[in-house]
Amino acid sequence: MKYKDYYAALGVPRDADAEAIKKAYRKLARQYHPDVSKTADTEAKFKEIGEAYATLKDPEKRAAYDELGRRPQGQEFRPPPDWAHEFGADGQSFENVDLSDLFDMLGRRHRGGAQHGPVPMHGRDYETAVRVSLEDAQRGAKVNLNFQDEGGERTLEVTIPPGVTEGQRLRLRGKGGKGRNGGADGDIYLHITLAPHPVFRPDNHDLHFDLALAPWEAALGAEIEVPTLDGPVLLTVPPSTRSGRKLRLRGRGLANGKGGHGDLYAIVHIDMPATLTERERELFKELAAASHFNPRAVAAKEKAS
Amino acid sequence: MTAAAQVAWLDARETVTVTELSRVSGLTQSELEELVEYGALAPVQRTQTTLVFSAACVAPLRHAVRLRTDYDLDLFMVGMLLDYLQRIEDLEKQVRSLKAQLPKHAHPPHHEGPEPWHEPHG
Repeated sequence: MKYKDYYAALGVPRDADAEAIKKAYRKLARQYHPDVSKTADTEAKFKEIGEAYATLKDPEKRAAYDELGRRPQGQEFRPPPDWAHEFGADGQSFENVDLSDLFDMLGRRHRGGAQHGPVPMHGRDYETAVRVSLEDAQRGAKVNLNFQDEGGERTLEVTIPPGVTEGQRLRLRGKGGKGRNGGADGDIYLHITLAPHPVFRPDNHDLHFDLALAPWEAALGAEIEVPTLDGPVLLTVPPSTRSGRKLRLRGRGLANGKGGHGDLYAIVHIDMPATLTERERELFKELAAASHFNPRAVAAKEKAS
Repeated sequence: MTAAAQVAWLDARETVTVTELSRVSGLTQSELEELVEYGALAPVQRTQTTLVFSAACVAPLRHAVRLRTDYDLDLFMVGMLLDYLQRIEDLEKQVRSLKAQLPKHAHPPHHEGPEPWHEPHG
């Protein structure tokens, strides 16, 4: 087993009191917390100070740690023979046990009272984010996750069920690290995010997209082919459709995983040709002369009152 | 166990017992009961023998418990964090929903997002 200098990790003297240790730890935790800093070495540093503090904050663990004496960082050593009994596994080898695991187990034994035999330990849980396309969210998908665990790099294929949405959390039971001494295997926690789609914007299981209409399509109504995740369908645009109106295609959104689907919304905006042909200009002029429609009439009335 | 049974949806469609929540959060049952007393956790069902919670609380609770460990906070602080984390999640959901409903041209420039659907003119 390799010795780790927990006092040096926290930058405190070996006779520091509990309050000084806590203060030093919190200061470093703020500096190296993964929510604050994302670089690889800060993650390792955060783990190191966390491990040091977990032992030094607990008077019993700290006393046991102090029993090991002062050694150079990383030096190989054997824990005192009576620790095997304390650890609960008479004659059990410490070879594949990390110093932090050892103190963790000692702590558990003390909390759990006078048990005999090895202490059951749950396998490690893993948390990871997975980005999937809308199409995969709709149909479900298999993704490969890479983990760094005790045994090194591990790739695990997991199945994302159909019906996930942005921000969905899933728990994959028993897919995490192996439990020890009869403890249950750990879990994997997945945080799903959806990759941006060139057309659709998801809102839970509903989908939104922008539908550009020519002025005459908006005025007269039209049957327009629009995209859905399952292929194009015909949408009836009613006459006198205003810009900003939402046209709903019921059940054409994302699958919700329970047999149903969200809705698909076409958000209308009325587009104009960049330049008008002479004929188009004439027709618009004719329309302007013939129509009594004033889109600002309501606003004008409100202003007057 | 089937593949489907191994996947738990951590949202309001599933529930967890206090025993299971204790397992996944790392808090003891009495700590969870204390959070219920603080009003930070609300059981969806309370029987004489157990408490049942919405599975939606699992992720924010695990996050709050991780922060507790990371900064050596007390249990009351976990309750406070849980409130705030759930509120942030709700607000993020609302922002996402509002963004989805905004037409593309109303989105801020340089936004990594979808392109509008254009029908050819006339």
